[in-house]
Amino acid sequence: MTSMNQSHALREDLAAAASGLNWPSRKQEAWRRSPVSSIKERFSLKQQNEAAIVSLHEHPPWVGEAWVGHVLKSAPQSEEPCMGQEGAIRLLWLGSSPLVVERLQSAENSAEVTSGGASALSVRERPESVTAILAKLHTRETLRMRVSAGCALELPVELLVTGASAQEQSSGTHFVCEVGAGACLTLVERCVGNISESRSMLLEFHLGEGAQVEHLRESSPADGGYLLSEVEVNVGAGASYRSVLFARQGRYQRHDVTLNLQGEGAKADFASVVVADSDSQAEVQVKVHATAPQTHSSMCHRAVVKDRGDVGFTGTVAVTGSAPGAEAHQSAKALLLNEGAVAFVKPELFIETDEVACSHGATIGALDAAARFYLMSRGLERAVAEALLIRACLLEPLTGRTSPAARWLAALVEAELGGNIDDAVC
Amino acid sequence: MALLEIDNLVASIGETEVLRGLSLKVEAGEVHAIMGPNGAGKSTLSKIIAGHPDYTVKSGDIRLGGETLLNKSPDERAALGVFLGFQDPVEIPGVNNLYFLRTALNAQRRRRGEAEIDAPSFLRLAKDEAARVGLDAGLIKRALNDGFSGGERKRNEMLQLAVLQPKLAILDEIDSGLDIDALAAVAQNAARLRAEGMSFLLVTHYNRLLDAFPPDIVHVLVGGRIVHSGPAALAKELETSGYHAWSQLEVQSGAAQAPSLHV
Repeated sequence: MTSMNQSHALREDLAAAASGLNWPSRKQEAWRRSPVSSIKERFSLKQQNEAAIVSLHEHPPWVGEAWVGHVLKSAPQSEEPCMGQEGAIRLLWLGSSPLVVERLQSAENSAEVTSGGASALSVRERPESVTAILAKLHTRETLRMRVSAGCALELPVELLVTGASAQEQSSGTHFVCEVGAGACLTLVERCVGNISESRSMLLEFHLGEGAQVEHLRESSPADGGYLLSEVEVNVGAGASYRSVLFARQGRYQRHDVTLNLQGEGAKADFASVVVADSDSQAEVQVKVHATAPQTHSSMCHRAVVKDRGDVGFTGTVAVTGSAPGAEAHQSAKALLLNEGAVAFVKPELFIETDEVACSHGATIGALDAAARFYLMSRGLERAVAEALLIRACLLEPLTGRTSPAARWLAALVEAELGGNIDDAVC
Repeated sequence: MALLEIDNLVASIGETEVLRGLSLKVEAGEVHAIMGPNGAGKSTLSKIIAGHPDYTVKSGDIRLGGETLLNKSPDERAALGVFLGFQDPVEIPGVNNLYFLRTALNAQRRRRGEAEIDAPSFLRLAKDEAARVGLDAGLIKRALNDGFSGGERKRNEMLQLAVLQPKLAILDEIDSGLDIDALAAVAQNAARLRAEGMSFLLVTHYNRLLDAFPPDIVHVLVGGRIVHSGPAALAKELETSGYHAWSQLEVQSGAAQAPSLHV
């Protein structure tokens, strides 16, 4: 006990000494973060929809609470099915427009749609396997999806969110995903296309014991578009959440991710791949709260910034006293391709127990000249060598991920990088 | 005409002059070894031949097959037939080893006006050569040098050398970090490539590589100049005598014109 007291006293002394060094305070650093609180308040989805969600819980089944609209074919055709796998389920969300559920069945792309006015929406991959329930709450919508315990979905579920209507200059979406014990789900989330105004997303995940979720995200608002996205994940004992975010385009994107490792052995891996150019700005903030023993988390952030692009990343790990044996690692790297490009990277660790293994690394800089020379010395032109290095940076978080959904996301990143590499390989 | 001709080369990095009138000729199919104390300019010479942008050539010339290299970029030099085996090959996570190598090979071929190699043919070639240099088949599918041991990286350099088939291979301390078996594999493959007509410039501190892959000529590089050249046996003498005498001579000669010790 004496030793613990001494240790505690030592920590306090060190903290006091550190505070006297005139390092920037958190408040001083806050200038770097965009002030989005007022915008968030406008949406405030969680608070405003709380009653509705609770009522849904209290009055199952939710017949009469939901309605669906037209089939996919009458929806904007700019977005092709991303996965295109037969049997995959697609949830298409058109801002304030109705939601469409499509099940990709055949080469004709025929759609199985449950439609009608006030009716429940149920999608069943197998009996009791997937249930998607839509609640249309005027301009603020909530979608709740449940994956039954023990259900292993082989095909991904795609959540497609696209533009707000012209009349409605801003729109919010609330998605709740409950994955039962031992269930497996791959969710492909796409915020794309006509997000020319502002849009806010709030996604909640609740992973039961031993559940596994792979969450792949594409965030590509139109030029000038604003997107605020919040993801909150509660990971139960032995459960695993893996996510990769690919963000590009738009005027401003903000992605706040909170990973709550609540059960013993819970695991969460988050990666973000960001490309910012022109005047686009993207910020990613990830917080890991480890509150149970033997948890594991990792963060990997990779960004390429050019022109007057601006990318920020803050990775926060908080290990409470109730989480001995926690392991948390984070790595952040930003490539600046020209003067005027801006990157901000900040790792934060708050550790309140001793038996933990945490690490962090952060680099911001230009392309590695030694690596470029190495590639050129093998015959690659400078432009191709640089393209390869950029590709290497961005694809690193996806290396080793073999699922079709991960490969799809990797292909998106490749496409973003243009044709130099393909020209060199063909 | 020699394959590689270096005439009275003076080069610097920043304000520091590192090569001070170096001359050298390497004929096609010959193996030359460059030895010398730390800081003598051995690795610098390798990088300058390959076109490293950090170095400035103030005077002199480097020609390959009669064509000057000085006005050419590293990739152009590679296409002409220069290969630098790095002392410490960089690792590039995210770039697949095979993807990179095929891209490099086809880039060189395109520049030379040759037909590009198709994917199946390349895969066969790469697998065969990987087996020859003793590189695990699983490694060639991984990211470039990512997580490779020191020995695996050097074997990977040899794989690239065998696939790219340059005219001149400059191996900068290829023997460092190699175990006995790996060294034997490197030497065996170098000998095979030499028999096919490839020339070698070996930069090394140790005789164990030269025992396994004997050079035709050994050069002593001190103070940015070649101060002596001799047969393979010279390497053995250096092991006994060290570079002290040559260093003293260099100090006495100061910045005088480098001796003409072309072989």
